[in-house]
Amino acid sequence: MRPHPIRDGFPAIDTLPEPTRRGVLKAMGASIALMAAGCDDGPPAEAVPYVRQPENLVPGRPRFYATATVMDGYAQPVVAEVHMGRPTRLDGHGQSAANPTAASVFTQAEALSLYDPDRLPEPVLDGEPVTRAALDTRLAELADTLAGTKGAGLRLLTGPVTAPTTLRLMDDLRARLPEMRVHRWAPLADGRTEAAARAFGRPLEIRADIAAAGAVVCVGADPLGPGPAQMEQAGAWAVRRRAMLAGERRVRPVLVAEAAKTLTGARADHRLAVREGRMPLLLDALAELLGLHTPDAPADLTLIERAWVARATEALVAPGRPGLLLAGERLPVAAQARALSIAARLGQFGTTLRAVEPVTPPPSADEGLQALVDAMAAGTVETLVMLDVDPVHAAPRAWGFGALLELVPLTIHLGRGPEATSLAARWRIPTLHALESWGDPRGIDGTVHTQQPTVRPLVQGLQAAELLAALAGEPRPAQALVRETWAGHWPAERFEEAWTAALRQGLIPDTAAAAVTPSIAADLPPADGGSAEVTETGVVEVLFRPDPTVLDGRHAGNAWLQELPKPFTAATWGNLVWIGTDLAAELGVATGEAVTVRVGEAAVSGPAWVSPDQAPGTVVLHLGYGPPLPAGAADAADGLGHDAYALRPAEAPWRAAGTIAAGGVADPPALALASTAGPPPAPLIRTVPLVEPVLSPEPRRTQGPGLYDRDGEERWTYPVNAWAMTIDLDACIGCNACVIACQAENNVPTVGREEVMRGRAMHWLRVETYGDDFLPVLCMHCEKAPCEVGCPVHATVHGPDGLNQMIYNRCIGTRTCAAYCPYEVRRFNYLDYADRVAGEAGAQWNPDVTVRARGVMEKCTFCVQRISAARIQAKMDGRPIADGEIRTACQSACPTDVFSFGDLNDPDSAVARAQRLGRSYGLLVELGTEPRTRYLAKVDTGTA
Amino acid sequence: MRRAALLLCALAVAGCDLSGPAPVRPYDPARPPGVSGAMDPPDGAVAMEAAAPVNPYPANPYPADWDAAARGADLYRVFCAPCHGAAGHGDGPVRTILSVAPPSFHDPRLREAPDGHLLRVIEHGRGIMYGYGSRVTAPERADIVAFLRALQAKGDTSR
Repeated sequence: MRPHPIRDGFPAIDTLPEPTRRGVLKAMGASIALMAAGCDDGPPAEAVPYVRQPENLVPGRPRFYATATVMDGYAQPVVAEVHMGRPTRLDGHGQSAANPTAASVFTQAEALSLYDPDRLPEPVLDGEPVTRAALDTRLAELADTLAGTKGAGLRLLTGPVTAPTTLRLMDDLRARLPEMRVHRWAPLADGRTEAAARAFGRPLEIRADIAAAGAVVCVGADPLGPGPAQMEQAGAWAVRRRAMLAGERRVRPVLVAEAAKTLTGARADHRLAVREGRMPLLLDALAELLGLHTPDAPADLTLIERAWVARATEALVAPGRPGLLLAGERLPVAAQARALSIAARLGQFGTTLRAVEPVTPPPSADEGLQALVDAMAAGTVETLVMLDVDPVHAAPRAWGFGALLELVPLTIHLGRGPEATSLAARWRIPTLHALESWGDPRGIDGTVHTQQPTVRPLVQGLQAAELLAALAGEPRPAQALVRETWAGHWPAERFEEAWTAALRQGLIPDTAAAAVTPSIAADLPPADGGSAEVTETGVVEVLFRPDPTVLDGRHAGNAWLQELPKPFTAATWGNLVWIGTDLAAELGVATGEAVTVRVGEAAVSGPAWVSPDQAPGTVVLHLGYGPPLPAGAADAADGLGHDAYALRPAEAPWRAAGTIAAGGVADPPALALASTAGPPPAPLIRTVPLVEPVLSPEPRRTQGPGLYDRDGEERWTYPVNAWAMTIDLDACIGCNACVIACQAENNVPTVGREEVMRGRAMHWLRVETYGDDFLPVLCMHCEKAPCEVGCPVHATVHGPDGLNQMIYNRCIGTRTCAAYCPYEVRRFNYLDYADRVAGEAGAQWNPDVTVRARGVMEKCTFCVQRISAARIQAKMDGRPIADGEIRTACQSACPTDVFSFGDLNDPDSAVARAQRLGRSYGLLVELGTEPRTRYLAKVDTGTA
Repeated sequence: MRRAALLLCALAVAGCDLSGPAPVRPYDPARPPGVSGAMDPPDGAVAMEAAAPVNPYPANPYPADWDAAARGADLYRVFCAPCHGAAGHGDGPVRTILSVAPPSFHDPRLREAPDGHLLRVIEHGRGIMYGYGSRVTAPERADIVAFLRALQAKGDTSR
């Protein structure tokens, strides 16, 4: 067999790890085996053109569908870009006020999850793969049996559900099978609605409007952090911030009290690091200063805490726009209820807070997971149907859910496939991905967003609604089920027209939840059990948090999210144990060294991350990693990360008392950036005062060797366009949406944990973190680019419109350009990473962008494919390219509108105006590179 | 020596197992679900760009007078008559080598068709007819339509 000229005979490939636990690495590793096949490898074997071309489909032109993905039950409206029936990327659809196309990393990454090779391809009943038809027969038999017993012994376990169709079918099933019981549970469930019930006497959904707020006070809350409302709140934050900088409203501070660093905390004006157990005390002190509460004894606060509370009080009652008080949704319910009550007394409802009818009905007492566990232990559960939940991994371990599952005669799991619960179930049914589904999930404001498939199902699976209909004995396809739900919403003769319009638009108008004016009780709700503080020596406060990228573990199979550097730590492919400098000194550990955390009997070990901003005596563990392996599999230590669920107590899911010790077995962390905690090594991030937002003139390089003739002023000229970008550091919140957007748009491959540790991550755009400062870095497209001089084969050249272009076919891989680049933005493809994307995951690739081979340098192109598309269209229309017509991928995903892109030749373009601002500066201009990507300095509003 | 070279060539080819013709497999639409080449969009889904209702025929902005028809007659003779015939019966000299007969302009369908339809077909083509948008300008297309209308008004002369 003839060796492959590029791929074979390259020993480093063998040093890559075998696919490990749960096949997380399989996303890249599976096709290694194919490489030995010599002549048979290459492009996919089948590329079938259309025999009957669908109407209105022009090959080479994407189509766009308005649909929705789902996060914690809530709709995340998106626009899917579909090439020849394959969705390749997702943009947001009106989630952020600052940028309507913004989408969070989780939403965008669903485009890859769709093609996850680990998805179960077909139903597996008792270990036997069966077809959809066979499954339908078995489900019909089961429905008959259940109808005979009126559902006795049948239990349904679901996650949070907001979709009217699914809720209707659940009610329908309950009516047919009155003995059936429904349990609702989610590992990340919080006490928000319960707190509203305690404060206002009825469950309510409370929504914050940061844009309208003056001062913002967060006690343990992280409105800019991950969650279904992240994009909306980040957009509102940007609107508020911009209005203050423009002088349209008075400057009011953001105050944050938090135990460990969050995205909101990083952008706060006054940040207080405090144990979570002390937060109820802070709220009490706040209420006292506001005159709403008279304590029996003065609160036991430190001077720093007192000063913070005094500032917060002052800010909240300051004249002008009303303030906004937010309590963390993971604080004890009593503390949250008190915060809501204080906010209501400050008149925040109706201005900065809105109460609406709950979008998802709250579970009553008999509907929790505890009731199900008790019933399973009592042996009264005959059939257990689990809809896209993973209790074996994520339920409190003390309950022994995995062992109890074996007591149930028939367990049915509808899910992605690789979850621990799916592996343990008797009937394993693949669920359809959001992009393959029909549905009507409600958004965070209650609006029904239509969910329509953008691709024919890639697996033989069912949707939750279809499974419910089948259990009721009347199986129907999901499209019919959703249409049934809305049949009465419009007059019959107008239905088709209205339904088509709803699908185009992606939502059903006027379905937002009704606003409610909450009634304020006479007294503040009692603060029972809220202030249980960990004070014993040697005992630390262990806080559980969803992982910043894989959340509760639902995204563990997504290589983009695994390789996305987590905010602050830049960790990839695993989680870290966050400790403060106090514990680090006490234990004598540094970042990356192993520590062991104990809660009760259970212990986990992981690499430490030392944060100077963490509250003393706290340890933060991130959930989502290290699920238990099925019997016969290898030891859990060879999986990724550590299993924080093992320590999570049933009674208090977010906070526990524990101990920490140095030592233990832990893999070293795979950090994508070397150091993130301290200041930058050079003045990379600049700040200007609000009163005079002007930087001192940039230094001009006058001495030392240079690649260009400094004084000869041999300039490039740009007769048509001169593309450039501006990055507003004052707006960046470090959410990483741009990084995933770039990856999705530009076919940036993932490389895996080992390669990240070798410093070979391929991201074209990275968000560097220095303490509290975020710095998105991408190719600067320099006027005097060192890389262009360095390349011996002219593979990187200056384009006619100012782009620093990379010509992949010329590149011979000397890597000189990367060595010459002071910005470290050039990425070298060492091991044909793109080819290692297994099977169908390659279907996500953007057909407009070259997939780069091994031995080739690559970097940010300013999304040259989008520039070309706009240029071609403008030429056809016989007009110049309009300002704002070209939007780069990072720009379109950013919730706070950090990026502006356009033509410097047009003095009125957004980018030209931004570059003329006094706070515009270039990165490392002292090197004489004359970067055309420029930054806008952060603004110090003077309230710190 | 030459034989050895031939042998080497044969070996090189055999390395890739290209000895026989590639097996031809008929397209089988019943293949299992999965990603393969061009995929059909799902049934019932509505794309956003479908938002605009089906584009109605553009109005003809040019006046149709005898001058226009006269100019159109010249253009018709150059661009249209070879296929469509001098009197518009679809019987031009090229007809004999066309697989599909061009329609007659005296066909009731085309008599009733709006100007926009004719303008669009001249510009973009239809069926096996190529678009003439790059060779016949918009006012010229209107002239041709004016001539066609005159031709239709004159009536079908083939019977």
